[in-house]
Amino acid sequence: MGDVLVLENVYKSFGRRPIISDVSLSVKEGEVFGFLGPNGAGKTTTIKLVLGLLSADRGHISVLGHDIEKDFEKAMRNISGIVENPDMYGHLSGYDNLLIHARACGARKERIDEVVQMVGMQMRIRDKFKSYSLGMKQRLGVAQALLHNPKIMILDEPTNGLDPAGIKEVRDLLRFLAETHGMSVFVSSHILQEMQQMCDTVCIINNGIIVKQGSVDELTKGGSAGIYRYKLKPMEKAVDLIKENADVRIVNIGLDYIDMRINEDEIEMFNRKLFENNIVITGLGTIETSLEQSYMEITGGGNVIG
Amino acid sequence: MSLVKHGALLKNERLKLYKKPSTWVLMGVIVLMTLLNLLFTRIFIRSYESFSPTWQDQYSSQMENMARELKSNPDDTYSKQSLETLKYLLENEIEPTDWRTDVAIEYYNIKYGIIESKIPSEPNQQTQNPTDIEELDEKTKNRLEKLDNLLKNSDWKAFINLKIDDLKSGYSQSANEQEKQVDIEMYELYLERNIVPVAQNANYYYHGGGIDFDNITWKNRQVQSMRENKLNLVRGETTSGVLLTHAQRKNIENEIAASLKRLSTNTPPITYDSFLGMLEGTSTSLSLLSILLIVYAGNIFATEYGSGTIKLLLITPHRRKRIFWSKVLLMLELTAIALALIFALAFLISGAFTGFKGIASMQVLSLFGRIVHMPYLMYIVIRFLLMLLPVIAYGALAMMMSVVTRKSAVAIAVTMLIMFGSNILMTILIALSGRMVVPGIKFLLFANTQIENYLPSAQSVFNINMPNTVDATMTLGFSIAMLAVYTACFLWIARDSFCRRDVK
Repeated sequence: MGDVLVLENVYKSFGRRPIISDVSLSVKEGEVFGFLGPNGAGKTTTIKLVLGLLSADRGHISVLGHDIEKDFEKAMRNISGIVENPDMYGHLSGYDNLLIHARACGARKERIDEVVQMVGMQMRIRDKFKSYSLGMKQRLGVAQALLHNPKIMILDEPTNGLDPAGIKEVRDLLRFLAETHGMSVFVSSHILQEMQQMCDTVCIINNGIIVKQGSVDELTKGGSAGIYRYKLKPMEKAVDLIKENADVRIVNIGLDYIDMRINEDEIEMFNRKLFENNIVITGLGTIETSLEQSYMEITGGGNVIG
Repeated sequence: MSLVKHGALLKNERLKLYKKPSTWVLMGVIVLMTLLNLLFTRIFIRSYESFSPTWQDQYSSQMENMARELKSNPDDTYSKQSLETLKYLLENEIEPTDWRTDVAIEYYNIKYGIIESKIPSEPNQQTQNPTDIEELDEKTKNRLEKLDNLLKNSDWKAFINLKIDDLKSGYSQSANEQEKQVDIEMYELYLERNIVPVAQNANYYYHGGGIDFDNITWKNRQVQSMRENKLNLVRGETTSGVLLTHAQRKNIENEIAASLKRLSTNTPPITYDSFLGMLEGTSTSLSLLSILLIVYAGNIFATEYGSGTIKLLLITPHRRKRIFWSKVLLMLELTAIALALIFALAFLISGAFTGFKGIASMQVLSLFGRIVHMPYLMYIVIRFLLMLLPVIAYGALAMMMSVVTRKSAVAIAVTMLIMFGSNILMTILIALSGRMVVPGIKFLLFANTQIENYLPSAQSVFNINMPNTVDATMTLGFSIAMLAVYTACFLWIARDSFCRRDVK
């Protein structure tokens, strides 16, 4: 699997204020790449750099090996995206908007019907863009980004402002594209849960610096532990046992449950120990994964779960 | 390949612009204003014509006035003289434009002793020598006899010969030998070209209206304007007393050559109310076109920035340069469409009023320092196209503003302000240009936007054509070059800014 998108030591400042510094990352073919960070971390700036809307002060960006400065047209033929909002021409119909983009990208006219079908917009495609709901605008944006069969699609907070059903729709669509079309998807978000659910690889950015990058599995395994809620019987015995165990730290004790911090790879061992001591697990849930833990540490708190 | 890509982008720009209802609303307003402009001028000409009385009516009513005057003041020689002149003119059916009007007026002037300019104007010389007075009486008698003969024989050639003799003998005075020569040359031209002269004192009793002087007397007008032009050359200054520049001298020489050619090819001028005259008059609607273009050029980039669609536009696999030029091309296309609409409408309406009469008329014109003989319709097309140049320059300015400010309201307002503000400023500066010329002002954009000042028109064919510019050294070629330079600069700045700047 080759790298579809590569960023090498990219630096960009507005005036004297650096927005992103020395960002390096690579997106592999057919993966959903999560670009995670709190608001103002430099996500949109990075995306605009990748799409050639901004030019980098230093560093290189290439799409399928084509440098976006030197070989802009070749690079752009393999990439598409939606930046910030899916802005299109309000006085034109959805179809006309797609037609404009298809012409600009050199896509066939029949392709328009295909992508409209893909995002399920057949019924409203002749209506004016300004009459669409936000969800429909998002879907049309995705359709537009699919027009010229890009190798990689960049989506800037695609679930922003969508209801749960809409979010699920987007998530399913992205997984579908990656799995059945082998397309790479670069998706940014400030909400961790979403990322964990749909991404293969996650990259966390804060204050313009990449703080963590790796597959979701890797990030969850290594590093700090997650917090889990155990419902146990009998409670007293369980508390004593946990206090003996050095690998487990109690975070909170409730009426019939204990929240504890534990490394993921030790959960199996710990559960066996409970079983051996005749402590019954009546319920088990995740309060916070290890990824959330690192994200919280990185971004300095805030309600990540919400 | 590149052309195909350009074509795709241009098609996109078209779709965006032409599907906007406001585009057609504004276009409709422009067309409507052209229409109203045409109808208004037409109605104005009509009403002006219909209210003017015939020359006979005018003469009769003046005679009544004179008679009334005489009743209250029987010794009024002026009234007596006028009464008799008018009576003679009416009885012999001598139209105001008839050269005999001049002869009759001079005859009765002498008869009634009111001799104005014909007598040497230094009274000292006359009183010094009493024999002069007797000589004068002899001369007067002679003169009256000559004039009487002219009226009886109705021989215009004899009239011209008399005029030439007057100049040669010193009976008519000229300022100097050179000017005298110019006048003699002019009279000889009448004989040479067989032009029946027209009364120079036609307006003595006749005060405008029903007679179309331009049509009846165009050859005379040509000779007269040649005379004016030649005198200006001889004097080395304009009629208003400003020294001639090299450019103006050249221009006058061309005008003289054009007048001569008009006479030799027997090419009558185009009149206002003819088909071509009306069509030409609609070129004023081009200023409306500049408003249209400024609005669209001011919008074309700024709205993309404002609505965020610029991002969509720039992430397509096209260099920004190409996207920029597709928008420039669209603006040119829009201008062409609006121009075609205005022209077609003007063509049809002028045709409806005049029945397309004289559509194939030829005309001799002085263009770019050369004398050309071409169909006037073709010239009108050239005139429209040349007058389009400042419109395009302002369009380019608005485009630059649109890219640089990224706000359509600001771009449009600033460009309009520059256009209207400078127009007012230039009108003032042109009025003052006889007395003072601000150095370097001719290099400003605004000084070069009034292209029509250089261009001959149906009107200027009769008149001494002196370009109305802030600096007399300016020529049509200079202004076209300046407009081209400015347009190129505006576009270059716009392109550079569009291609370089970040989309934050």
